[in-house]
Amino acid sequence: MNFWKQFKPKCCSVKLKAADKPQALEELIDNLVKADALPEELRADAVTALAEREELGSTGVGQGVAIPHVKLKGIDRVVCSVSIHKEGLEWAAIDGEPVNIFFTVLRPERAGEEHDPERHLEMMTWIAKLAREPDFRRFAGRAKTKTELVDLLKEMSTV
Amino acid sequence: MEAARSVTIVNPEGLHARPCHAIVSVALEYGCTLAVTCAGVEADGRSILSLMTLQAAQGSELELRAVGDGAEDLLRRLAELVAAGFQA
Repeated sequence: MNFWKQFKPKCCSVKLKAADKPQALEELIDNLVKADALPEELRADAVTALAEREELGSTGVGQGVAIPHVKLKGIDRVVCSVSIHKEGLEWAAIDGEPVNIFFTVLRPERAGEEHDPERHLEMMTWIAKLAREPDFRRFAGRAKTKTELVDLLKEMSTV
Repeated sequence: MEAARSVTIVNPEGLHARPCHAIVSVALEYGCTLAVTCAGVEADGRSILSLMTLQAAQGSELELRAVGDGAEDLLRRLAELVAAGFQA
């Protein structure tokens, strides 16, 4: 599986600075905009969509991992990142533990040439398998650079 | 106490993160173990990440098996949740 190729180092972060959930959602989206992976004009919509998704139920899936993900109007392919917050953030996760690994996934509203919903479900499954791996969580938390972080995804792409 | 039940995923998006969250939230109210099997693959019904690995699409049949106090009640609630397309 080559889902790791969707994660560009410039979209990711090994040192999120946010102090709380709203700041983190802004920072995660800012990083995608700065990397030119998400158009500036969609910044506000993306932050709002992620915040609304969190209100439906926390994306903190346990074991220090959150998967903030939404459908977003205006994109024609998946935009995603993996980011680390060294200290961990309160995220109302299912297990009550702070979150330090964030998989952000924005996807188009509809299927299209660049977006296959079935393939997307496979990618989400891959993310879940990866996140369950203690080795992944340990090494991701220690990554010093964005490239190192994405290399880890590549290395563990066959989970 | 032990209970088992089959349910079919009816919501169009299948067993994605939010439905998994809904299942786990209910399961954690009970002291039971909960195994969820789909196409021969078994997941821990008390873990969102584990449930997400089932990749259960719309139309998939899930076998629920709970062991412990309130097992039947747990499965009754989960069956209602799944049948309602996780809208309840």
